Amino acid sequence: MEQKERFTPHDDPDVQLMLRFQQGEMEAFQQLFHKYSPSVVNFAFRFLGTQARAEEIAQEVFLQVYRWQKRYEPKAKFSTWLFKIAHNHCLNEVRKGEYRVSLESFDPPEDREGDERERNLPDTTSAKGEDILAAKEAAARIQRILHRIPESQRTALLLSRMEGMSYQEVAEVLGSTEKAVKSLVFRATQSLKEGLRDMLDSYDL
Amino acid sequence: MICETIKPHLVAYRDGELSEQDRSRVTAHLNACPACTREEKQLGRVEEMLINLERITPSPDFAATFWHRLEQEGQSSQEQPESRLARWWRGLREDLTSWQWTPALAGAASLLVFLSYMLTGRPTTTPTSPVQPAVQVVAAVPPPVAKEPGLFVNYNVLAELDKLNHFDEIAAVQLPGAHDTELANEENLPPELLKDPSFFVHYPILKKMEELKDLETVLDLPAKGDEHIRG
Repeated sequence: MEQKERFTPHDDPDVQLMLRFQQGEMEAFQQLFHKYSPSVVNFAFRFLGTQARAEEIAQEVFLQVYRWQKRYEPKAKFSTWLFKIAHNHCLNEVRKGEYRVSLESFDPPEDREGDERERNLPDTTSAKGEDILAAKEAAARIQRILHRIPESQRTALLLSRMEGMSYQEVAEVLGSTEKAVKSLVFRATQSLKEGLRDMLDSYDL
Repeated sequence: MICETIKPHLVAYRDGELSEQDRSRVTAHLNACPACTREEKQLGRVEEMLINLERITPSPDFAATFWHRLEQEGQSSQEQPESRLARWWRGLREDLTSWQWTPALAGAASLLVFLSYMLTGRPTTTPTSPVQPAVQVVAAVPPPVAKEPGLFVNYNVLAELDKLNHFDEIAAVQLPGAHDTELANEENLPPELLKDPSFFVHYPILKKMEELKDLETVLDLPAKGDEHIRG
């Protein structure tokens, strides 16, 4: 925790890349795009539920980063700043009302050949058929629960679990406090635990 | 009772986000409480399932699409290239104000009338109709043109068109092409226009503008304040 407090944005190599981009080094921006665009797509997909929209949002996020080239001021880690933009874009997308995700779109995809949702499932090629089915069911159920919980809980959970952010970093993204993030992550995890209860009970803990 | 105070901290405990003091307190409790230990393991299992979700891989054309969008944005911010329709409109205005060649005036006048006809959805005065001086002729217009009052009957319409600043959107509107060239099927087409072949050069564009759903909204946009007629 003490190390985090001593951290300054300029210590972040990605902030340095952004500053180099600010000086006109396009290659620095390309590096940032290649490093972070898959994560932003993944975050947006988990937030919104469809890959096509997630990719559009991710592109808009990086377009915004590009547009902010001259105005950028390092006040946090680059990833924190980037996901703050991504979070805002996802929220706008949801609130525009254009976007509706039906719960059935998260059903297991066996009957839909080539469906993008098959990508969401763990690679269980070496596992038994039952395990594969269980993993598919778990993935679909998790996505449904993610979509049901409040957006702030969803973002807190996704960033802390899938992007490995600390509570402090998540708080910066959400414009909140560490204490609030702790509560958000806890409640989101509780919702998942409740939704997956039967599966959890079947495990030998 | 103490279990209820410990449980809200279990996720943060697993995440290493508790203070040393709280962490010690939770650890001590877990060592003595099988129920909370089980709860903590279940939370761990949930976390594991979440982390094990496969990460989405961007589609193969994702990066290429992005760089293309970026390139387009860079071009538009640097050059503001003139769209096809903007080019046509500028050309039309220049034609109308390039008064040294009068043979085109007849065709241009017909074009203006038809434009008005299309935009308002009802017939207006034709070039041969008695002219009502709704608009004063601009001073810069050369005298030979000023003698053609029919040309200015629909000046208002053209002036309003100057406010169109969504040329790209208009040009991008996809319209069924079936009627673009089937003039014979057009109803209520003023017979004067049918006599004027020069009008039909711009017919597809006029059709596109006619069918633009929010044309009225576009026309309501504030004018940019530039000149309506180039001298």
